Amino acid sequence: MGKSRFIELMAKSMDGSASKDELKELELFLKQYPGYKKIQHVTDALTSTINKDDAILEVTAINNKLDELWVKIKSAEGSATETLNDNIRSFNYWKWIGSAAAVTVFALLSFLFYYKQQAGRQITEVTIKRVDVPFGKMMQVTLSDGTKVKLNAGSHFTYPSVFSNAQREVNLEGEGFFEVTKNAKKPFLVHTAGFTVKVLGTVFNVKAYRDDKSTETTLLKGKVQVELTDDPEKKIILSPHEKLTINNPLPMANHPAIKVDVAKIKYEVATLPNISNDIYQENAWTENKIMFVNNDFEDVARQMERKYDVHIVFEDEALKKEQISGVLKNETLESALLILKQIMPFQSKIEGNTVYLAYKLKK
Amino acid sequence: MNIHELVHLIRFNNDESAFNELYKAQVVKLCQFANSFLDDNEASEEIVNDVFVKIWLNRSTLDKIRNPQVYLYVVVKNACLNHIRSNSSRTVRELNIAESFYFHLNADPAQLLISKELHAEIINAVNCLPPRCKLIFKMVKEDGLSCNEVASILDLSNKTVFAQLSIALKKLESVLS
Repeated sequence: MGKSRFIELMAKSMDGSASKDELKELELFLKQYPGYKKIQHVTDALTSTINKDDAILEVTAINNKLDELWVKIKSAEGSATETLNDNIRSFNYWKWIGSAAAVTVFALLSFLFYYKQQAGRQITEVTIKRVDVPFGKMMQVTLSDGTKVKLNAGSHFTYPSVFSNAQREVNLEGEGFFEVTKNAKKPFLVHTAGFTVKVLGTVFNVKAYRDDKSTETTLLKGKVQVELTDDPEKKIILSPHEKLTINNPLPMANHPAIKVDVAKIKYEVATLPNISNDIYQENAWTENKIMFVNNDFEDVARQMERKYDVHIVFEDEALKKEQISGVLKNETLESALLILKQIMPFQSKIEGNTVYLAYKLKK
Repeated sequence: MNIHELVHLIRFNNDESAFNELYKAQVVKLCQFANSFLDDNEASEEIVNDVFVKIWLNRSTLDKIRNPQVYLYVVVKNACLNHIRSNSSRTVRELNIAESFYFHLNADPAQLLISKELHAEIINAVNCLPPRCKLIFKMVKEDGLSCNEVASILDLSNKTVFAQLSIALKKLESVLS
């Protein structure tokens, strides 16, 4: 076999078109003439660069470029379709059409409202969008900067269609899991009734339901700064896996005596127990789970109310304070209650949308 | 995951992480490819990024593409051609390949059992190959493309590409023996 045949076989093996027989032939040839092995080694070792010094595309650089790319895509998508259909993905498809229509109508109305308000001034393209998540479902919103927000049942969330100000500001009542796109020049602010969370680019959970006893934020990645609404001077910085809880003013908090009491314990920072896979009680809901560790039955019931879109009534006050632990996944309401009955001696009665809970009568 | 699976996920699941993976796997070679025509890093990156933006926005049509890898190269090549046309007064009919690739050996000369002089000689010989020959050698060796694919990307015949690859190998052979 001659030199030209060798070249041909090498070329074929390089481009992957060589047949099994040809590869065998090449192997045999290399064994027979070891001198040619050098050519193979040198060929293998050759690598190309563009103008050597430009190590432009390292991993971090690529990730940054990817972030920029998504911003570009989102702004292109935003200008192409002004409806929310692209931005919001609903988890329950059977309810999808209804909610999409509702959200679109709402967006349209809020747009019209905004438009009217702006009529006197110069018209800008920024509109405030509002998402209302009904009980019993979750929604995901992608903001114009690429930030992803998962919203839990019964949440109300407002955000501008484009972040044109120096800060990216959104409002939340309810629970949201945020994955904020990094932008050091534009801080991201989440306003809730109890506090404001300020971040540059992180992953965190905010729970701020009006009817819950406390408002909390949990940080999973990066760094956040929290500013309390009643005490703007106080700035709390959280590190990953820390949770800040503040007590909500109780419904009858206009009573002065109670107000003083609430003001005493203003906030609490706790470190989360280290569980693997980044699954915590605080973000379990994003996977449609309810997780509770020594929580009051009352708090768990409130989460169940949102998830199953029911009203839960405790007929025994003491039952509310029972401590329970467990995980609820994709169970129906009935089987969820059955599971809870295994660990707690209570009985339930479902009437339409209302669930009545009471202690089991002692025999 | 291979490129077909990624494209499928993007097309049918609107899978953003598949898109991220596709971008990460392709961006370096496509930028280098664009740069071999433009010799301008910034413009090359911009062209490649625009291509990816369009891929995402037009993801509903992705299933019509038979060979996504070749498609990406061809789209980048056409974008480069448009870029050159819009930046020069005369009409450009074909792309000139710039001298942008420089090869080097990623192994120690001692490991390859060659002397330092020979090492330098090899590098020099490879870098003196005609630009098109170098580009083809690079695309086959590093980008994992077959001669057929390179041929359809560069609008050449299959035989030409194979011949060019052989030229590069012969050059190595002549230096080494």
